[in-house]
Amino acid sequence: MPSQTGSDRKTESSTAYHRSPDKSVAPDGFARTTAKFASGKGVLITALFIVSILVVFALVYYYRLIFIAFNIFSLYVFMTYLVMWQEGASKETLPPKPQKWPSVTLLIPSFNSGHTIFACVDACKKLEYPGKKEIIVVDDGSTDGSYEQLKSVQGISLLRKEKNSGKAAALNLGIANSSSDIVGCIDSDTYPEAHALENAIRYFEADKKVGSVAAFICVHEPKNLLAQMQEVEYWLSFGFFFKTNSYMDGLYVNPGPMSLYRRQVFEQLGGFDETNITEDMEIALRMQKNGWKLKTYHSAIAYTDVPTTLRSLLRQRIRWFRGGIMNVLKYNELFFNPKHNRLGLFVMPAIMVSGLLTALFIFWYLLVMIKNVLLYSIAAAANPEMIVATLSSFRFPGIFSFDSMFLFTLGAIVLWFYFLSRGIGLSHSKLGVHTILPVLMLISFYPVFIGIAYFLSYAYEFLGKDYNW
Amino acid sequence: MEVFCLNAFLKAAILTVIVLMLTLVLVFQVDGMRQNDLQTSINNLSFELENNRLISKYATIMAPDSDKCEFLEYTGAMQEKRAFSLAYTIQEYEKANIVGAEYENLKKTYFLSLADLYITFFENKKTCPNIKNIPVAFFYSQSDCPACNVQGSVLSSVSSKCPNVSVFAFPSDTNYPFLNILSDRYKVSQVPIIVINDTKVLPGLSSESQLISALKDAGATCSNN
Repeated sequence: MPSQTGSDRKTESSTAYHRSPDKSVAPDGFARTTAKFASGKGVLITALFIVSILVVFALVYYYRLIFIAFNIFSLYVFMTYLVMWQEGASKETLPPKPQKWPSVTLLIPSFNSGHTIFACVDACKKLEYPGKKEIIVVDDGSTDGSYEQLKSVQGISLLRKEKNSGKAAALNLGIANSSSDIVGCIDSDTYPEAHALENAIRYFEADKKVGSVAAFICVHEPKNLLAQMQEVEYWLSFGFFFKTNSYMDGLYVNPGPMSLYRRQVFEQLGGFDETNITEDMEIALRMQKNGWKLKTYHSAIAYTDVPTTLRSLLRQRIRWFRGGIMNVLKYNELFFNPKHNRLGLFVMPAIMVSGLLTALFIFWYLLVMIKNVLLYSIAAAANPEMIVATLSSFRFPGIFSFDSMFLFTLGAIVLWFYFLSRGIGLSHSKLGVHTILPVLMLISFYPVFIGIAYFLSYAYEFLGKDYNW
Repeated sequence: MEVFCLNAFLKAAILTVIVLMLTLVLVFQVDGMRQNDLQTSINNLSFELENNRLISKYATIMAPDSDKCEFLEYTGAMQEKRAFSLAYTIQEYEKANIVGAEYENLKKTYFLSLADLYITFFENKKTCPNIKNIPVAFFYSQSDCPACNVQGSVLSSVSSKCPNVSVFAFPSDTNYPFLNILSDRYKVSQVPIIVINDTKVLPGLSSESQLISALKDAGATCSNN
């Protein structure tokens, strides 16, 4: 029987897939007061810190040289993605239907998600699947009344954690209370398309080393310009880049909104790391380390709600980036490791270097801006009449006085637009007038925003700020 | 798989080099265009200066009865306006360029022409006492100097309100011998600094009203708008 009602719900009874807290990463749950790293990681983070200081100093005198070098690096990374896409990702075909469809459990952790969980459950119920399918909602100590309302929903099993303990713990409870061959983890604000499951499952049957298949995450009904900008970003990152990474076995995260896992992964590696702030990245890197393959299937589209305010977006990105730093340090042996081929030799170093350099550029840029504002303010303070003169002395560069160093960004910009067009193609959307403004925002505002998020993430990690989300 | 991997990275490297070469061609092209544009403007300035000198000589030697003063006053003012805006252009182009080491030579030529124009101004005033134009020397720093930028804007505004004021912008941080002589003459130890009619020295940032008042004292006619 694939579904159960709320009346025969289970309780927190098993910790079979609980993963022990890794004290070197985040002792005492998500709370941390000082940065404590194992000696190897300590050396690495100290080296990163020294390199960062040196880069910032070098930027003062050689910013053009560093900017050009950074753009050449970006161009090479983009070219590699272009070649990889042309050689494989664009030609990838859907594996054939399996002879026997494996059983699937869809796990939905829910914490105070009364406004989205019911639509999510509805979408999961509508998923077309020829095999056995069950839906388990794990309530993670909600206080908004959603747990009580979920009791009356037909066709689901409902588990309850009395105390809120995080998504990873909720998922682990769900995994322990399921027995299906495939476990699908779905966020409570995500709504998969009806045929998403059937197509994604084929990958598990085609290759027994495939441990997870991620859906193509798209933005659900973007409500404002910020959400529209993220929609374009998701087409590009979860679309083009994820597909190409998947093709080169270089996926480093199973997106939280919707990913499917082979049960053996949990049996072999344990469940989600409950002390990790990006448990979806942690398990992906753990799987990579242990030789599992990670795939993504782009006809399996799942729509998810995204932050609609700058504040919430910044919080989300800082969590992602801090989680990224945490996991990169945790799995630093993957770096430049020929055993992990393109993930270790290319994808991870590329992400780490670009993230760090973006953060340093923004830091330096902010320093220059602060210095200029201070100097201009002092100049203007000499006489109130100077304020007008000060404002008018800011000169926008004309076409002829535009710095030549920006010409080095052209190649990467052209490739970026090509990647975007591929990502849009994967999402079956169309680039229209309505996407012009979000695209402009993504190329103008977003790099600065993301640089600040990177910078704050690195700063928080160096300072050992608590993980509170 | 390994061979494929290497091939993909190698292909990407080759493509990167090709795009970089194209970018460099573009950079050389754009930087060259900027340099040519500047070269042409500076050549024109030098040419006009030489032309004026010849006309002045001609009037003195071969047509002593002709009225050269009105002509000299008009052309001198026109040249100064062009030279003043050229100072900004040089600074902007130099910052924007990556390749080409010609800027030092271009700047030398420009500042020598500018200094020549400045001295010629006083020479013309001696020859033609009726010339009403007031020369203003503005010393600034070529390196990061927000106060100099602000002062430049103030001077642009003042210049538009006072038609018979001619502004000459000289960098204080160069090793051009003649500019050093001028700096010593006006005791330029900090920038910005403004010298009106070779006599009144205004150190530090001067507001528009301060400048207009000093210029009026020196005989300039300025509108209030």
